[in-house]
Amino acid sequence: MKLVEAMKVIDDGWVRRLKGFRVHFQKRENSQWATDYFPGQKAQPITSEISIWELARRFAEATKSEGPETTDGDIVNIYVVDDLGNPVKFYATNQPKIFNYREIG
Amino acid sequence: MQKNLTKQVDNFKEFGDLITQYGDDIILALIVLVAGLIAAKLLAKLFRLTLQRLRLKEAFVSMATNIFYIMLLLLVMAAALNHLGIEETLLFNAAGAAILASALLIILFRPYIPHLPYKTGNMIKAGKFLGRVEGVDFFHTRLKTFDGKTVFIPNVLILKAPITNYHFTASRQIKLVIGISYSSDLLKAKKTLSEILAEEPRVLNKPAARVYVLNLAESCVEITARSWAKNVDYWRTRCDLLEKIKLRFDHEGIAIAFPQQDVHLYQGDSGNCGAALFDNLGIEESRDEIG
Repeated sequence: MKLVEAMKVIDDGWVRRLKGFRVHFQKRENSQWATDYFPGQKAQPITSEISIWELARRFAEATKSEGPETTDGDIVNIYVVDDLGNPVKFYATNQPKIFNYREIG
Repeated sequence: MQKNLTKQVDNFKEFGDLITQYGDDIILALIVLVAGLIAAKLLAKLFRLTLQRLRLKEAFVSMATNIFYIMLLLLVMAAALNHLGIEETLLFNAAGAAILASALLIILFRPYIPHLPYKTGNMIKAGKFLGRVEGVDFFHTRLKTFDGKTVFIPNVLILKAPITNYHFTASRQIKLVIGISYSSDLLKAKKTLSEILAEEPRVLNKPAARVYVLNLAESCVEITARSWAKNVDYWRTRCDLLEKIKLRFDHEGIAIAFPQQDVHLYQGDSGNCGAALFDNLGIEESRDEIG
């Protein structure tokens, strides 16, 4: 195998350079859970991982519901996704992290 | 003596006649000139604000405003001279000739004219000041630093000292040096660092990011991470990388080293360095403790 070919194999198997991040969340509307993101999928994603996690944390704090019962307007399952929509591990722990987690059937 | 006196009186008389004849015109011309200069200044300011609202480049705004201001000055001077009975075409001809001569001189001698190595809007480092050039006049360069200060630097000093202009290079190298403890897993630290650089969106693919062991220092193994980012992203990327590295290293059990010193105490019956030292210092109690 040539070095160039080997380098291509190595690059393909190496960590992908992310293009940006969005905050994923689910919102209760008309008794249904709808998935949404910010910045929206047509907008440019945010390139700072630190900033996006900070935004996600603040968003979760601002939208935390009091009781266990579900009402319209509730926002749950807040986490960071990459430009392809894949969940991103929290940079501090290298583990998945979800704010305001709620299991949705 | 008397002849001189008579001559001076004649001169005053002539001046008096002139004032009587043209006094009104001179005063009117002066009023037009002063009012015109004030109005030109205000109009130029208004013109600049209007252009700035259109979000045009600062360099273009400055140039357009200066041209507009010079044109207004010419008009004001022409109006003032007109009140004195001098034809304005004469002024315009003189101004035109002056502009043409200046342009010709500039074209011919441009390479030999000392000029500042930056323009308005460029990000530069001059001496200890880092910031964006807000404006350049004949004597000073106005620099807005990133902590919000406006610094006026004499152009004379700038021409004498080295200047870093970040405008000419689109990207900058981010150099990070991290010291890890000797007991930490070096290969794991290098891999973690490489992964952090690889996934960071603002780190450029080319030139590729690199991680090296830089130094086996007194208290730590120094690893360096060299990566490149666009000028505009440089500072935030650097700060974010440092935060990620600290937290990921903590999580991976890689200890970031701090300055430390090991002290060894030797003990034994003969050839005891520690005991000999205590003997020399006359410290009996300490010897008892270690003996």
